[in-house]
Amino acid sequence: MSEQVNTAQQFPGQVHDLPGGGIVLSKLDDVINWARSNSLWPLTFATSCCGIEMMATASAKYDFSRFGFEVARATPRQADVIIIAGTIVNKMAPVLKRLYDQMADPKYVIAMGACAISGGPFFYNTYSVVKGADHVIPVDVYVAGCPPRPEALLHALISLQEKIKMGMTREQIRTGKE
Amino acid sequence: MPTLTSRAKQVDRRPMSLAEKLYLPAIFKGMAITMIHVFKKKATINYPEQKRPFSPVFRGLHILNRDEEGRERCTACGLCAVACPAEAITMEGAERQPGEEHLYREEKYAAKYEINMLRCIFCGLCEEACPKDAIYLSETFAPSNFNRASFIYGKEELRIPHPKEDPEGYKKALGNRAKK
Amino acid sequence: MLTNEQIKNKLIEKFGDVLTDFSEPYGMLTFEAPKDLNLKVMQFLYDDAELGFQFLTDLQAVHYPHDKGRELAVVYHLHNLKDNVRIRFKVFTSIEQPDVFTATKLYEAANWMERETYDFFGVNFIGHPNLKRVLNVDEMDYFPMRKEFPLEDQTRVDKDDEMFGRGGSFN
Repeated sequence: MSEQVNTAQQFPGQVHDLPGGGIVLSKLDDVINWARSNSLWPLTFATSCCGIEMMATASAKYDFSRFGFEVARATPRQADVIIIAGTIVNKMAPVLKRLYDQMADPKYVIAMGACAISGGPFFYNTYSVVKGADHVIPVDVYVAGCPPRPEALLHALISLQEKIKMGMTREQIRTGKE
Repeated sequence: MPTLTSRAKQVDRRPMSLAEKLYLPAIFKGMAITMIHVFKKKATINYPEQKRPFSPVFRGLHILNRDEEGRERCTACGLCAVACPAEAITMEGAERQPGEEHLYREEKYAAKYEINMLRCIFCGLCEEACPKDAIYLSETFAPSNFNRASFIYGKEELRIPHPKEDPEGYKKALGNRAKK
Repeated sequence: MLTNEQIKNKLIEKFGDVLTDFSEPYGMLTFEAPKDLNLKVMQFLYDDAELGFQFLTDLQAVHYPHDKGRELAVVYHLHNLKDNVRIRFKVFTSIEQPDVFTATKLYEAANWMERETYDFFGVNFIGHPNLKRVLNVDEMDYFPMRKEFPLEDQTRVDKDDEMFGRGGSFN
């Protein structure tokens, strides 16, 4: 990993020694962002096969608890990031919206797999699939694959974490503008 | 009530013996298993630093192949786009002009070649359909991103590095996947 | 041990020749019953001490659009858990009046399966306690698995993403 990430992983609240001999304290905002990014608890929203890959990411081999995605919560009220793993069908769309609305701010959304990001193979000629979860709720990170490898999901989670550490709002993350 | 199956088993409902009533042996047995696992080899792969080797049949990002002289193999026949179950491939063919022989192998080439990674399901049917071995799926997975537009991979992203100008990159991208 | 031959003989003994089309594809006894007898046949298969088909594994429909008057076939899969024998039987109905008696009184499992069959094929199960859509959205006004919808034209060129809920050429 690059050096930039290593500095970002330093605890911003601690007292740093400056080369000149003085000390500096971080802003409270940085501490909050640091805390926020390192305790992103995902909500399990596994509607199909991508869910298996999400479980693999959570289990011992990949273990996303290492990065602070500690435990996958089964209730939206305790979750910070919703991982949409699987096809969103028309019947499921209101449920997804409702779960998203029930999550407390700040909340983030990861769409995982071809079905969740665009409908995938069901894009044309289907009577039941929503063509991308972002028709229903705003999505921050898209993970391509069918299903994506656990590495790809980890990559998405880590990159989302870095953006939060930088103090970006959801709008800034989505549009890429500072 | 008659049993529903021929494989039903009677539940053992005898009262517990003293050793069982103490519960301690069972607890220590469970703790012993936990302790054994503490000293076992750790299963976790520290992902960003350590990478797990992919299976030789893993299908990742597409690569548009070139031949040994760096000429593009694709002739824009459209077979991959037809084979694609998610209809993620769009292409536009163009005719090779005189003087472009070092760029394109055949008289026709793909002026525009786009794969919509949002829709792609990495099934590998494009690789199977290609008569010119111009496209194959590599061992890298598609990276995640924050906006949709970055998932449209054009020729720039898909093309393999030039074998003469960037032999190392070419070799690395080629891996052991491309058909010779 | 229960063999297909025994089951067939018992059924013929009880119902005579109203049960037709006995066959054994892949070793599984299959036959056809008249649609108003479906409950009687099932009750007999359930109650008979020797047969004992007390488990409904599956229930679904098939649409044969060219078979006039008997377009929809409702297929019942039954399982004898004791001897581990499976059978299947079909009931045909017309698509104009797709009324079939419900099996929910006999098998509780039939409840959701019949709702699903209604959802996708529009089979009207008479006597079902709660016959409404189960998998598709409630507002749907057609039965998607019926073969009424033409296959896609392979030469179609209007596949613009904008028509399919996505604007522009890249998203």
